[in-house]
Parts: sequence; structure tokens; C-alpha cells
Amino acid sequence: MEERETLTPMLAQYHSLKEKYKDCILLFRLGDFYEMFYEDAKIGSKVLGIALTSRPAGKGRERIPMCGVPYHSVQSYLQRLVMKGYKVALCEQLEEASKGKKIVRREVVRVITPGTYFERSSEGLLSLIRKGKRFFLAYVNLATGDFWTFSCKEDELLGELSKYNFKEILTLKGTEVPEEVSKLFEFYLTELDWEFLREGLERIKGEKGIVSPRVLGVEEEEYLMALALAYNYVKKTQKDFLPFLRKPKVFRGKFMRIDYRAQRSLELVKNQEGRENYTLLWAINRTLTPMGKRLLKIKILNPLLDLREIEKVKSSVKELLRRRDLRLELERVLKEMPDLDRLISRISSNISTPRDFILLKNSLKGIKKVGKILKNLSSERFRELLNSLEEVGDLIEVIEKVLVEEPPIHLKEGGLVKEGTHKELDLMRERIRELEGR
Amino acid sequence: MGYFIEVTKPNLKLVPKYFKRRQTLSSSERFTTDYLKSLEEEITTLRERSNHLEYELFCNLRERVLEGLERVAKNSLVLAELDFLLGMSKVVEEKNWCEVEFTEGIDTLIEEGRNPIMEETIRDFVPNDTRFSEEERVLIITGPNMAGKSSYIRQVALIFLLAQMCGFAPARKVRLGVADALLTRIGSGDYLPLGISTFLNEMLDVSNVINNATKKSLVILDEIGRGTSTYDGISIAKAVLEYLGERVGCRVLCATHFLELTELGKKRGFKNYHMGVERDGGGVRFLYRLVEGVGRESFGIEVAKMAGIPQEVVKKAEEHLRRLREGNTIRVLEEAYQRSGEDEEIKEVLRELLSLQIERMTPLEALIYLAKLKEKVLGLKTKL
Repeated sequence: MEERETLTPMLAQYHSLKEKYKDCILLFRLGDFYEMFYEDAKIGSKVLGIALTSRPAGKGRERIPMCGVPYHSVQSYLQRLVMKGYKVALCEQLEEASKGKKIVRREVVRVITPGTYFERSSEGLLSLIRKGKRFFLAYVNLATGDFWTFSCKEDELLGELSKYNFKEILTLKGTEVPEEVSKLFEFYLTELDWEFLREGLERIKGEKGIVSPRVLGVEEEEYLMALALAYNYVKKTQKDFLPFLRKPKVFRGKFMRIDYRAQRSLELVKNQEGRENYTLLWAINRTLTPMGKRLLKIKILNPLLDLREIEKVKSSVKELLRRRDLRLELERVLKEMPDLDRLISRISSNISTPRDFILLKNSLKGIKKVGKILKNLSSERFRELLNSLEEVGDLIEVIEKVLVEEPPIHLKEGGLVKEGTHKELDLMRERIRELEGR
Repeated sequence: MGYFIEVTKPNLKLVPKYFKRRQTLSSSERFTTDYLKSLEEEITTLRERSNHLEYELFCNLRERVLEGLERVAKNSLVLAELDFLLGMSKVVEEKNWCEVEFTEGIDTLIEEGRNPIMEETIRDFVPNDTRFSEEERVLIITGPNMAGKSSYIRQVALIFLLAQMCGFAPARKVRLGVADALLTRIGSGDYLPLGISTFLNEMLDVSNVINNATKKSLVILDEIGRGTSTYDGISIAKAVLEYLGERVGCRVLCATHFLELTELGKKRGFKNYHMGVERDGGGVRFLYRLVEGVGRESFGIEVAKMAGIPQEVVKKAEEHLRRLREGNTIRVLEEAYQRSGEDEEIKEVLRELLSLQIERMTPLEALIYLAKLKEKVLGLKTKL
């Protein structure tokens, strides 16, 4: 403690924050810059190719290494650090600097990791719980809101893993991850302790209402543990930035087994170089939306076994073949659809712009059209889809009522809200116009 | 910048006293007045207030939208599913896929099946049939390199996969029994990261296949037993095929170089095929067509010719091949000749054998010769 006292107050604050984020590079907001200190500065200057400088640390102390990046271009630096596999803790100033105040309050507002960089990457993360020869996993993708759990036998693990896009694996300390996994896949391993799991279980029970694995239709507690690890991790790293996640479910069913080797050698969704060209996906993909393409990938990797299920798909495809008119209509709507999952992710996180809401509104209008088209289709699968379609008219209405058609990007500079939405606002605007007219 | 009155330099003398100078530019000056200032202040305050109000209204909107996102996310799943179905209907129509008929058991008939990936890259893709039944579960496919063996066995796997994914497949007609697993052993460099030997790798794959195959599985084997000596390779491949064909009873497609494996074709449940090749002048022409029976020749040298390997090298290769073909028996005889020491009678027999031109004899001549030889040798028995 004595040592702390000779530090400048700012560095003392830095130390107490860094203490909590030891495994991260701490980007410490200082005015218009994010600064890195000590070892972080050395890594940062090397990875980012920026100059390493130094600053005084306090009375009678040696200068310490430092480097920094301007706040307005922090995203591109962040991306480079995260792609290199570093976790980055972003520390912001939470109040304006003012005279008389010694030091402004600073807090880490988000930790960005290789598997949670949802605004720039489409990769997610997996948590893994081992129980003898069986593995229980949960998959989270913050960019698309995917969140589910599944299990597999030891000899199915490679095949299951290779069906996912992931950059990070979470396990409990002491869990033995098979050697092959680390040799065949590129990912960052984070080991968490039992306390972290316990906290996660509390959260998944309290916040997601999953009080027992039975809620999900399974018996094994390990499904819940896998979900809890993943959930607590994204919650603790993303804090207020955590985007919408779907209600967790168990992904299981009767599927054709296609193990790692078959997926690779038949080049189903990735070729030998890990790319998509000359794969089955490449050859048969005619989807019009990113959501459709992601689903097609899942379908390719999980062909059905149940004849009734296959017949259901078949008869719906057959119906579409007959109804050329409806196909064209459907095509027109889908072509205009943005990546709705990513849009939901942006809107629910703190990174959306007013334009995203307009985009959402237009998509919802498209969904209404889809509902109308579905009413004309009669096969079982389409009936099911129609039934699971949710009413969204209220959302269209509320966005349409408030937001102008082409809003600015900035939130705090006006010009967002439609005339006639709010009486007081209208009066103020009128008064401004009147004053300007003089 | 705010509000001001701008006066150009020539007009500056006209400015009244109550104008207050704000800013001087090169050709003009800007002034304000008390009244203008008070207006400006009012406008600024109003702006701040209205901007803040707008922000609040936007935040309210966001809250309302957030409450509805769960519904939007559900709809997104519906869109994805529709897009998938629509996409499949498009590819079915565009590529002329057929509707698949499903059967119980393992009986399978694919007429004019096509490899959906190859079809995209090759202009005149040649379709092929596939048949599985209790009598013909294990299909052994021989034929030279480049004749399309690998593409064919992959094609069958992909047709099964697509059939079970959407009920349609790239073929003229398909009737198949559902496969519970696609198990493959296809050699390729994709194990380098594991850093284990090719052969060990191969055996790991094979053991994976054997351990997981059930009666309903489809097994694809491309060139198994390659990473070790020929005899080891053949023996292992044979044992694996026998196990899969007789014990497991699953459907197997096996592309191989080893003609020895075609002996299995005599057994119930096994059937030989090869990829058709025609001699074409000095070279060969690949037909990419599956033909019943065994493909006898490997056409390796012809393929080398096609690949542009110089005439001189090809010629030399042909010479080596001829010698190798004769090599085995002759070497045995030559060694025996060396070991036979001084005995002229034994040497005589061996000399005769060495100079024998079997390829010029009819089967009957060969038999007669063999009988004579036997007599001779029986006479020498004590000496041997």
C-alpha cells in the first residue's frame, strides 16, 4: 500500500482497475486517447506498430512505458488486438473532467475477446463441460443471438466442433480438453473456476428462468452448467453492451452422423483451405438472406433420419415448385431483407444508430408480406411457419410514428423525431423557426 | 457559428454605433447587436432543449422496440427457414434434381446420379448409376487414376446427404434407404496438423469407420491400405472390406488400385466395378462411366504421356514396366540357379524354365509342359 501512495492518483486508479483485468490489455481512457501502460504498452506498440513512449509515475519513481491510440479510431486498433488473440478491456471516463475534482471516475465498460467481438466478427464461442466420456457444450454467438446447448460422445466431439464457427472455448479449471481438439482447431482457451460457474447458474436461473434442466426437456445438470459458463462469461465481459440472446434450448434430434473426417473430405461447407468455394454449400446455395445461408449450412451438416421429417421438407419444396407466382413474391421480399439477426444484435446492444431502426421497420413490413404469402401455401411445414410468425404491427407503428424516414447517425443533435409526434417538441421547433425568421 | 450581420469593407462607414464587432475577415467584418444576441441565446437554449427531448423520445422508442425483439428474433427464424426452402426449390428446378423415394432397409437405386460440386466445374459431366441391395452391398471400384473413381464415390455420398436433407437429389431417379451415418476414409493431406504418420492416420480413420458403422451406414473408402507396404495394404483393405460387408452388412463404396481386392467380388454381397477407359491411339480416353467388372490395366504410363512427361522418360518407364512384370518369377528362378551349385541336371531344368516364353503358349501347351516338367523334377527329387 505504501508503494501505491507514491504513484500519481491516475496511475493508482489504473492499478486498481488492472488488478481486476489481469488477463486483458487494458485500454485506459485519458481525454482523447486510450492509453496502455507497462507490459500492455509493450505488447500494444508491437502488435499495433505504434510508438512506445514513457511517462512519469510519481515522486522518486522511474518512468513507465506507455503508448496510446486516439479514441475516434479505437475500433481498428481493437480489431487488430482481438484478432491476434488478446482480450481487451475498454476503460472509459464516466464523468466530465471538471475543476476542483482531483480525478474523474473510470470504469471498464466492456471486455472484448476473440469470441465476443460481435460488431466486427461472426465468430462465437463454445463452453465445454466434460463428464467422463461425454461432453456437454453450449454455443453463443453474439452477432446472431444464437444460444443453445448440446452434448456428444467423445468420438463425436471433433465432428460437432467442426460444425461451429468459434474462436474461443471456455472450460472449468482442470477439464481435460482432448489433444486433437487443440491441434485441429484454432481457438483461445479460457479456464474458469467453480465460483464463476456457481454465479452463472444463479444468473441463468434468475435471468433466463431456467431453474432446472427439465425446463429444457433434459435430465442432465451438465447442459445447464455449459449454458451457465457461457452466459456468465458474455454477461461479465459485455456488461451493458450484451446484445439480445435467444432463449436457450437444447439442440438435439436424429441426424445423419457426419464426423469430422467426412465433413472435411467431402468438402461440405469448407474446402481443404478452410474456404467456401468448391464446397457443397457453394454449389447448392441459392438463399437470398444471410439467415437463410446460415441455416442451409446447419441443414447440410445435419441431414435428417426421420422419414416424416424429410417428407415434410420435400412436400414444401414441391409446393414451391408448383407455385411459381408465390415464389417470385417471396423472392422479392427476401431480396430486400437485411441480416435481421445482426440487426437485432446491434439494436439490443449499445451500438445501434437511428438508421438501424428504420431498417428494422422496413424488415418488419417485409415480414408482414411474408405472412400474407404464407397464407396461400398449404403444406404442413408452411402451416407451422405461419403459426410461429409473431405479430409485429405495433413495432412498425411505433417506429413510424416517432422516427423520420432518413434520420441522422448522431443521436444527440436533433432531427430524429417526426413532426407531430410530441406537442412540446413541435412548439419549440416552431419558436426556433419563428425566431430565425426575424 | 451563430447569428451575425456581415458588412463588406466599403460599407463599413454606414455601420451604426450600436453594432458590436464580433469578427474581422479579409474583406468584411461581422457585427452583432444586443437584440440579435438575445435572439441567439434563446435559439441556442431551445435547440439544446429540443435536442435533448428528441434524444429522450428516441430512448423511449428504443425501450419499446427492445421489448419486442424476442418476437422479431422468432420471425427471423421463420424467414431463414423460408429462405432455405425457397433456395432448395430453386436449385432443384435449375439443376433438374429429382424427387427421392425412400425405402426401408438398404436397397438403393440411383439412376444417372451427378456430383453436384463437379457438375458446377466440368462442362460435360457424365452421370452414373448406383445400385445397392443385400446381394450387392460392397462395391469395389477399380480403374486408373484420374478416371473419376473418387469423384464417383463422393457423388454417392452427397446424393444421400441431399436426399436426407431435402428429399431431392441430383439424379434422374433415386430410391434409397436412409443412411444413419456417412463414414469416410478418404486420403488427403488434411491431417498434417496432427503430425502423425499417414498410415497411422489412415488406420485411425479406418478404426473410426469400423467402430461406428451400422447396417444402415454408408461407408466411403478411397484407396485404403496405401500408406504401408503393398502386401500389408492389400491384406488390411481386404480384411476391412470383409468385416464391413459380412459382419456389419452396411453399404460400402471402395475405390482402389489393388486389383487383388476384386477377388472379393466372387463373394455374396460384393460386386466389382471399374471406371471405363478406352485406348485411343498411343494414349487413353477416360469415359467417366462406371462399368461392371474389373478394370485390368492401370494406364499409369498413358496418363504420364497425357500429362506431358517427355517421350524419353515415358519410353524408359515402359521398359521398366516390362521388366518388372517379368521380374518376380525370373528373379526367383535366377536365385535358384545361383544356389543350385554344380549340378548340371538341375541347372538344365532351370535354364529351360528361364527361357520359356509363356505368353506364346496356349493353355493346353502350358499344361502339357507342366506335366513333363513335373516328371523331370520327380526324377531329380533326391538331389533337391
